[in-house]
Amino acid sequence: MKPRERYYWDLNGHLIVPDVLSPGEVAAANEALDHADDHMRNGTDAYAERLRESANAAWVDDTLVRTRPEAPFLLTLEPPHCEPFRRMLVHPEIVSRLREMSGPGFRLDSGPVFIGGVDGTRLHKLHGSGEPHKPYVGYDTSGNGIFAGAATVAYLLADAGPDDGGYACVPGSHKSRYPIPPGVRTTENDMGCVAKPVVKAGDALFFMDGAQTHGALPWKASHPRRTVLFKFHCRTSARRGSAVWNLEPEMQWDTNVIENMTPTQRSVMYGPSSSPQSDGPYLQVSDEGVVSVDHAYLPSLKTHSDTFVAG
Amino acid sequence: MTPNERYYWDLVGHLVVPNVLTASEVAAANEALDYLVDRLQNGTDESSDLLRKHAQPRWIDGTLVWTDHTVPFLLMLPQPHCEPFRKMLAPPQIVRRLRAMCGEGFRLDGGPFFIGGATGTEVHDLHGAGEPHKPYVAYAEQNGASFTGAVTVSYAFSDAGAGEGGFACVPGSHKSRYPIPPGLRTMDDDMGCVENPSAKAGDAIFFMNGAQTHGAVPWRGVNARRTVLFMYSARSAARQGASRWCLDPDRYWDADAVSGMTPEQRAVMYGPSSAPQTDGPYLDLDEDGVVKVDRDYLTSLETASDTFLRG
Repeated sequence: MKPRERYYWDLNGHLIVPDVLSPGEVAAANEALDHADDHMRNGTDAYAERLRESANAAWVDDTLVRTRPEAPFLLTLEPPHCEPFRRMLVHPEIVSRLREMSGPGFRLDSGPVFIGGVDGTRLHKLHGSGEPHKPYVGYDTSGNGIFAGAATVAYLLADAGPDDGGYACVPGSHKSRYPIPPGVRTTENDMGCVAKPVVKAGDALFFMDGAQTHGALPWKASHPRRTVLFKFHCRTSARRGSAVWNLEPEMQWDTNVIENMTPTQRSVMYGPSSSPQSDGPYLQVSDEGVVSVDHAYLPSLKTHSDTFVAG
Repeated sequence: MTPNERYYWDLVGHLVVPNVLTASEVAAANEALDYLVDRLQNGTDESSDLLRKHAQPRWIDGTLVWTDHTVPFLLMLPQPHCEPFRKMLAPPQIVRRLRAMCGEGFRLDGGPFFIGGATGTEVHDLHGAGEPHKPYVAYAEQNGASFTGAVTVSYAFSDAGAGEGGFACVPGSHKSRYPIPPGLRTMDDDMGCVENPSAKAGDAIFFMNGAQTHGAVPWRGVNARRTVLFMYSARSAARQGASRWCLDPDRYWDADAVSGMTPEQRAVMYGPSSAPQTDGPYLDLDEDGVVKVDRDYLTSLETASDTFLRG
């Protein structure tokens, strides 16, 4: 990571590295996406069925616009179509920067996930922020180091010009000590804070996913938006991806550790994940001092904050 | 957690809560520990062998002074001996405070394990500090909310008066921005910074394990030292315990996600853990910009810092 890049990353919370992929690599990735799209729409075999289940894809006007991040379905495409994405996993331009951004031993937490767009795709509301503090994605500078709990790498597979829409962010918001004002979240009153970086096919966009306020502006270009996001984390934090599948106490511990435990004892035996999608791990204490599982905790988060439940 | 407790916790990095366990609960736990000691010393059956394998006990003059913390063997003891420790997992006195210290959804990361002491027990070098920064155990405070990545609860089963040895710490060191001086680490020159809090049987000591500088001073008490430690982490942080068993890519992901991957690609597919005990997850680039697994990374840490490997 060059000193100028480090300055920009620390200041803004994102970084664009141009031309990480060659035109040939972009073409191979687009061909693989076409393959996945075709199989998910038209495939009738078990492979296509598995892709549909793991990708949980969404289309607008017959254009693929979204898959889910929990299952790394792009890494499971049949060869040679998985290869472009497997190479992106540990591309030297990525590894050299992530070692510094998230520390040695950084890991894939979830994704790669596809985010596309066609003319008319709606705003993806801005989310993530320095406040409230979320330890698993928080940004910190101590001593000579910088630490970003989460750094997502978005590979651009189509150009996104200044008025085309797509990824947008609030530079500096990873250090904000105040929550996102409602008007900024919807960009109805963006206060002049929202930036829409210009990126080209082959570029890689790093951003502090969860710490930097970000989202996507409506897509307005005549060509579809095409990005693939790899969600990396530092060595010790867990958010989504396989953490969701490994969450249950039975997945974490031997049977004789947890058998016959009470629900409250089981609560503290869940595996790590920021978005458990289960109220099992949450405990409360009544005024009388009785411990019970807090079944209202996750629903309350959905009301009060979309950023936590969204991971 | 009372306002006074919160003030003290934020200020010094530990908290002694008296009388968390009743006299009969202490007696039941001591009885279970006596059973454990007997099985470890004299058991000849298969379950005793398994217990020895999990506990990895260390002895001084026939007194149990240490067990391993990666397998929760105390929760696996046959009935009724597991019950005292299972009840300690989530009693109201602990849950109420951990919710404030670690956040909702805190989880057991490592332990419970045993630390004892007899006359002649050596210093356990001080370890853990605010510097170097370790995101998975770090303490942060923001807008009136506090966050501790890791909180260990140490239950005392014998009295430890001030100056009698046992748990020792450097109050305030969780906020230090400078590494531990060598003389302080060994307590050869403690600079007047080290405290040895007193605790009675039934008390619980909460401390910021990994953030607060802590260790143990030689035991001088009349009775053998007896403590059991439960190592909790915030919902999204992973350190030791079951994280180690779930670490391998083949365990963490479905087979089709990782099959056929290169060692470098597999490196970013490891599950979360602070102390992986394998160099598999660490990548580096050679002088030609080629990504390779860094086989020297863990070894270099063992030389440079004992705090990282200990988690």
